[in-house]
Amino acid sequence: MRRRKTRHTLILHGVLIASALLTVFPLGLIALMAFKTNPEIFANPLALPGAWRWQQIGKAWTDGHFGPYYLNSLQVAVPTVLMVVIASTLAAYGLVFGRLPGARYALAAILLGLIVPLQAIIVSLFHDLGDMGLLNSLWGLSLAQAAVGLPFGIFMMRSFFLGIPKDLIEAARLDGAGDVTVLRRVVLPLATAPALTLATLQFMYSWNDFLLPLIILHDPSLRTVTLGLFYLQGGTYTLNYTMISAGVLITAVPIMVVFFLLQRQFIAGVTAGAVK
Amino acid sequence: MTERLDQQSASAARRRGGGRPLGTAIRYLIFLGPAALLYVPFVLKPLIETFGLSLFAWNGVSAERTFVGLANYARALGDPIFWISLRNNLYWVVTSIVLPMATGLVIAVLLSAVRRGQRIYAGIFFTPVVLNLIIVGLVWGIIYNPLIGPLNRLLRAVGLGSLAIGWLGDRYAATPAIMVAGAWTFFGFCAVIFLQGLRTLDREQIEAATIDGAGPFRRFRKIIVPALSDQVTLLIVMSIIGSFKVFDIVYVMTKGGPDHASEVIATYMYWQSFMNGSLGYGAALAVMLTAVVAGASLAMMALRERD
Amino acid sequence: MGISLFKTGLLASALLSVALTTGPSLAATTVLNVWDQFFSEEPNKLMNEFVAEFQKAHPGVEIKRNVLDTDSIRATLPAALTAGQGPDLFYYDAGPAFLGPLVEAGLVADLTQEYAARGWDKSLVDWPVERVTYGNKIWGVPNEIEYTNVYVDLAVLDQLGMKDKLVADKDHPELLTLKSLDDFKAILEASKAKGIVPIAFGNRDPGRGGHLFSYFLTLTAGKDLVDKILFGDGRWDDPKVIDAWKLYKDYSTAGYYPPSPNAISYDEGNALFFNGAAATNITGTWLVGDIMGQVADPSKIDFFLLPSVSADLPLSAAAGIGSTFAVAEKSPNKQLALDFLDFIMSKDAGKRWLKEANIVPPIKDIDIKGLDLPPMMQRVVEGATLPLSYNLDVVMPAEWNDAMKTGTQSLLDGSSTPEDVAARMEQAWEKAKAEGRIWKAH
Repeated sequence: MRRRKTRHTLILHGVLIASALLTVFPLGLIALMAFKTNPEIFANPLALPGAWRWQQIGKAWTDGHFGPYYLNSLQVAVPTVLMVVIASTLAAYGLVFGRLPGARYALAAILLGLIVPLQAIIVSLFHDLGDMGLLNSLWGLSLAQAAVGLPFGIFMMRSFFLGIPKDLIEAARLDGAGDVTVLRRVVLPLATAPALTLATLQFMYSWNDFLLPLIILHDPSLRTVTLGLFYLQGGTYTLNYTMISAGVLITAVPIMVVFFLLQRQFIAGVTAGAVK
Repeated sequence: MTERLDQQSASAARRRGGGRPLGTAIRYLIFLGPAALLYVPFVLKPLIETFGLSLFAWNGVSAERTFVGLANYARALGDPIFWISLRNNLYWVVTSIVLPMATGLVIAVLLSAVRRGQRIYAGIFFTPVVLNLIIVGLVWGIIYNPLIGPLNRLLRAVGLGSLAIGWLGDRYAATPAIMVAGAWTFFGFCAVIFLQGLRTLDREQIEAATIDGAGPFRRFRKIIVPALSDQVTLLIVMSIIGSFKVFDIVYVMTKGGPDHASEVIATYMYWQSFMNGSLGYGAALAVMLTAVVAGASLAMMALRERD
Repeated sequence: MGISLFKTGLLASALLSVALTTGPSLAATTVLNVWDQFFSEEPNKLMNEFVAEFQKAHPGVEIKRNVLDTDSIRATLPAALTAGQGPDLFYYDAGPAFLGPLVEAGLVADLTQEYAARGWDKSLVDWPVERVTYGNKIWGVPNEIEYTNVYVDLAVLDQLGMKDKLVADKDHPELLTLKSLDDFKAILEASKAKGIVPIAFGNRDPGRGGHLFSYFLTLTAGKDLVDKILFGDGRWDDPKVIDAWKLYKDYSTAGYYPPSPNAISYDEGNALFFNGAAATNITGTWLVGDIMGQVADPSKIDFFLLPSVSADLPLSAAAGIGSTFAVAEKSPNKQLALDFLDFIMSKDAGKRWLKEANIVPPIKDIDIKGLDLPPMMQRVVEGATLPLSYNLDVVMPAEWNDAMKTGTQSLLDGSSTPEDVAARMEQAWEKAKAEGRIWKAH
């Protein structure tokens, strides 16, 4: 019986390891290509590189201006995350505990934002941003990203607040606590964990966003990392698998490291945003 | 635990006293104000403007727009590429319900059976979820590449050279090929959701069934699947919305080609608006897409309520 | 934590409002915003040199370049100009689908007077200027003459024993051509027999197939028929147009293209050729720079021009101007933008476009002796003097282009016939014509 169990476990791990390898295979392939020469890639994309050419990563980093682009991405993502977390928390609290008449209409309007595809509003958004003088500015990008991310944030925080027992709030109210006090003393201390989770997800969204930076940022010195990668391969008349692969590595590895560090938050967020 | 928290918080609130209930207007301002400040100008207003734009013919630059009523909507109904796009969106719905969810479910069941390394495995399967779609498009573009791509190499090596086609350039293979790449970015997400659901499952229930002689498939069908109904509904809703909204991955892999064969509504709308100078028509497509997504989501929610 | 989150929020909103209300401080310099598409290495470097030199000669002027790929500039420029947030000077497709609507909307500065004032009417070649002319007014400054050609790998040709097929043209001895299209077929057949890809063609971006079509149309119909269609009563379902499509399709049926061209990108097709895996590459003179830069031994690459189907048509090719410089009507720095254009379109600058960026500027009478151009580039310059026809995609309306480009893809997988494609092109053309969205220089 025990032996059978051990064998089962072995098979199980075998299958899982095989699936895991299959999952990371595409990334491994790119990682190898980043160290190869273009003729090597054409000869056999799967073979190991003849030499580990680390300088190619360095060249892609410099040629692709990824240093400044990383700063730009941070400069966009941090305010975006702050705006989304704060506005979502307040709005979700208001919708759940705020005793707001007509709250369900506000909720419906926000639900609309959850289902509207970004491409559907992009033309008008572009013109509006232009009218407000927010094109070609990192602030403009942050505001647009925050607005687009907001509906999800509100829904996530709302589903969390719905799980807080109403009695808790009522008790505080009976004790004479006003709305702000209830929010500050009762709800916010409980909301730290989901807020952190929301922040993580929003950061990822902002970091990976492509369409908004593409249309909003015009000055090359303002480009984000994702946009930088797009333009690295976007020189229509050049083909350089080596540099493109190095660029992929440069942009993918940091977000993967962040993910593994914050894995708990990510996965908690995914499952929390879920079942309500 | 909750009770203790309850008392603590309540007494904390009492000690600091202060804070009267605020007036309705002020409550609105404080709670919904910041959200409205972002949401109204950058989402709601453009959405309304898009609707307005869909009633005009406009090339995006000229000072005057011509009012055409519902002509843009009528044009869509007679436009074969619109129907190709819509059909592809429906393929996306079906495929993304089947492919990544099934894979995710199998992975989750396997994961739930291991004691060690569960988090590491889950982390690896989740990795593609966090990558941006430019990366996904580049990586899979190389895999499908007819000249250097490993997929065709593999097919030829195992004697299936006749299947080694130009995946992204084939009118029939392009959409399925993109969908596989899309599934790669979504199955880890499904796995994690299912795994969470399986954690709540009663082990004893499974063991009892095993003793009763239920085989693995029967156990799967009778116990595991019903227990995950919440997760299944959630993922189906997400798949439907995501499949109608799909854009980036198609845009970076084929731009809707060849010959518009892999076009979805979002890419076609983008092409009409930005490359073809038909912004009014693009807006009409956008409105129709929004209506479809809204309809599908509402229908799903209604179904869920009824259960 | 909850409280600090709340306070951080207040602080952030405060900072936000400050940041939003205080605009950028007034700079002492005049900034000239330029959007261009010179992303290839050499042209990009040359533009940067021009910018640096111009700034040095004009203290207090800062030129900010935004280098975009074609799709991105098409997606963003029109709306940015409309919103008044676009560039002062831009480099954009000249066609009726691109520059045309901008001109119509009054977003582009009329340069007709400037041509006279700055002598461009005399210094620039006529036909490129005509391509930026709408309604008898000139709206741009073209900077490049480019035309289709066939690159050939001389090493492969030698291996095939076909080197003697290349002959000098009788009127232009500097240019290489073939005696007949049959000779071209012979080369392609020999190449196929050796297992070498005859034509390195990638059509994932169907603009590439469009170049082939424009070129083949030049061979089957000649410029006169195209002129008749564009400006007279000619039709796109003319038998000679269908012949061009048949030629395109025959080469596919005969197996002269690599397997599944629709899956191969333009760059990948070129890479095949650059790495010695293909005998020929039908594209255009714009590729010379990349050949110099990316082929290990560029001296083994040369190009020739295809002979026409019938002997009474002259040696020609499908030509265009790529994109054009144009000045934004709303720009507060028009004169500065024009000064910069004057600077980069001078005869001296013209030599540098040739020498450093492998670009043939439409500037008359550049003395290339003493420039020490590589032989292939000298041929390119010589070919620019031929009676060239049209590279069509850049002079045609959007729906015609869609019909033509999707046609290049659907012909390859057999889902349409040359007649279908020609009919769709004619249909799109009539619609655009009726709606007044076609190019009319005069």
